[in-house]
Amino acid sequence: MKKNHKKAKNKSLIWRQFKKNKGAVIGLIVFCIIVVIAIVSVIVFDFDADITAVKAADRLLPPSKEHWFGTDNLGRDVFARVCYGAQYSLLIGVVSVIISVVFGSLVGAFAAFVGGWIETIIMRLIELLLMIPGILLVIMIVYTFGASIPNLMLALGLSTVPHFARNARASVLTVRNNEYIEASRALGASELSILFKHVLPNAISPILVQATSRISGCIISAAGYSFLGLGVPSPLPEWGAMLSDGRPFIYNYPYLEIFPGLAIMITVLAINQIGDGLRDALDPKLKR
Amino acid sequence: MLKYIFKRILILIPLIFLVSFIVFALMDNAPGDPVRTLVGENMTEEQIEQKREELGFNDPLLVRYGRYMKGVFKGDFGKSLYGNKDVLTEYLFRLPFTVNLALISIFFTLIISIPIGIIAAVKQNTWIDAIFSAGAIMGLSIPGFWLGLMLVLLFSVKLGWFPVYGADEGLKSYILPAITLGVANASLLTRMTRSSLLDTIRQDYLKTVRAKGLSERKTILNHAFRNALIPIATIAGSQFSGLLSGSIIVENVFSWPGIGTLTVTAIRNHDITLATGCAVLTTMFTAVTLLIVDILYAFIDPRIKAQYTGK
Repeated sequence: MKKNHKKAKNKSLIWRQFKKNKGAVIGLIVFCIIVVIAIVSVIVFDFDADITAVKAADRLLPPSKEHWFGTDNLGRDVFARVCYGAQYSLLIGVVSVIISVVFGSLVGAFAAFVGGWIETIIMRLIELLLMIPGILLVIMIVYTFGASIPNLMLALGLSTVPHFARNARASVLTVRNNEYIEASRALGASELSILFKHVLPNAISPILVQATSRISGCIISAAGYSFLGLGVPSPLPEWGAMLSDGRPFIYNYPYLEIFPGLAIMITVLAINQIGDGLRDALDPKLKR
Repeated sequence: MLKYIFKRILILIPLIFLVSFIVFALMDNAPGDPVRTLVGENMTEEQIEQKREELGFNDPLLVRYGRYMKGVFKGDFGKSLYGNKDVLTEYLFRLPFTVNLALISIFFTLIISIPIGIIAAVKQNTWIDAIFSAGAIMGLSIPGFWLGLMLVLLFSVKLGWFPVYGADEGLKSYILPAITLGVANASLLTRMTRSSLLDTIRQDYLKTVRAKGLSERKTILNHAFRNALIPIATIAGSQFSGLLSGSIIVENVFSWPGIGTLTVTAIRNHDITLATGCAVLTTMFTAVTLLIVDILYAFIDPRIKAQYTGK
């Protein structure tokens, strides 16, 4: 009962700190709007009729009242496609970061907790993996297993596992030596339950901050890989794939390239602002 | 110090094994048949099979990997399946384009972000700081390749100031790709400079400096900034090595003849030898660059040097 009360107080404290950062609040609002757009467009637009159907008569129309963002070379409405595409970027960003956080934290926390030669081997391997440029790994993985959304998420997620593992280990190591851990050990708690009940929850805030900034990084990278043709395959209106589709027409129909790019930028900006706000709220030492 | 450098060089050996094994195993499972692509469509099945045997494609993965690594340690990365060119020669021919681009880009990054970061820190919590900080977070949020497309649209197509693609017009061709690659780095470095300087400004020894009667300008530039420089240099160094592999997508936007374009073309052509070679060489090159950067820190920061010699 008392513990819950304290937790709630902590949460409201974090929220109060977060609210002080105007940029972060605006970012959160914009992010919520994007999520709503993503959900509503799935309901409103019909995938076959509105998103992928070719309408030869409407080819390359400039932005107008009927087509707010114009139409592309296959007569598809760019506004509908940009709205519909929001779900892909959000999904890829969030899921691939969840993959990195889960695997990375488990590996890092495990290494820190077992210690000894197992820790040494894991950390040496992680050091080596960190030296391989992530971009090369992602491209090779996606190419090998085929360009699709799940493969892209997996590749993006796996390529940053070492980063998260290293940070998770560092946070666990700092938390582990605290007195309350020793206290619960003295009370007879098993090592595993200490890890999940006490160490990880207390080590979570640096991981959370890292994860938020990683989501925006993943959204940008995913768009980049799709732009190269090594990400989300073309008829799907993912923003990077749309940029890739519109590229041959960039000189005469620049609006095909402007709107999907702006969509990426606004989304990433909103998430970056939230990330900054979270960092300030969770880590008072970093606050200026 | 020497011991440290030696240790870092030794790490490169398992790294080469690891990265080449990962890439080798991945490319082995990649779609498409390299032999079929190589011989063309007019061959019979038997001829293809014969060629496959001849090139050693029928051996198990580990045997081929062993053969490949034997070559690598002799400096032989094989020949590309397309055009039958020596992989190492081709790579070294393309490398300068990427390295020069990275150098110019990091130069832009430093001359823009450090002054802005200093001004933002000195004018902390004023509207100038607010504008610079907002600009920095904007810069961090722009996808690089999209920025490149927009710059080309404005400066090359509309205004005609710079070439649309390629590296044929000397320094002029470097400007747009270098800026494109530099914006995100410059934004990050501006934020780092600002926060690092703010950290040092609060240190006690700066109170002493001010108490001595030194002007604010001198206090900041001669004392605070020099101490704030170390984290800034760390980030800039890793940004530089990151550019060597990270320019892949932007190189594609500008049809830049660097290693990024080479790697992507190799992958698209199912050219396994060239793609593996590119991945291995880029990883090694990035690792060596990071090593050099790390050694350079020891010269900026006597504390790091003391750490190594003390051990």
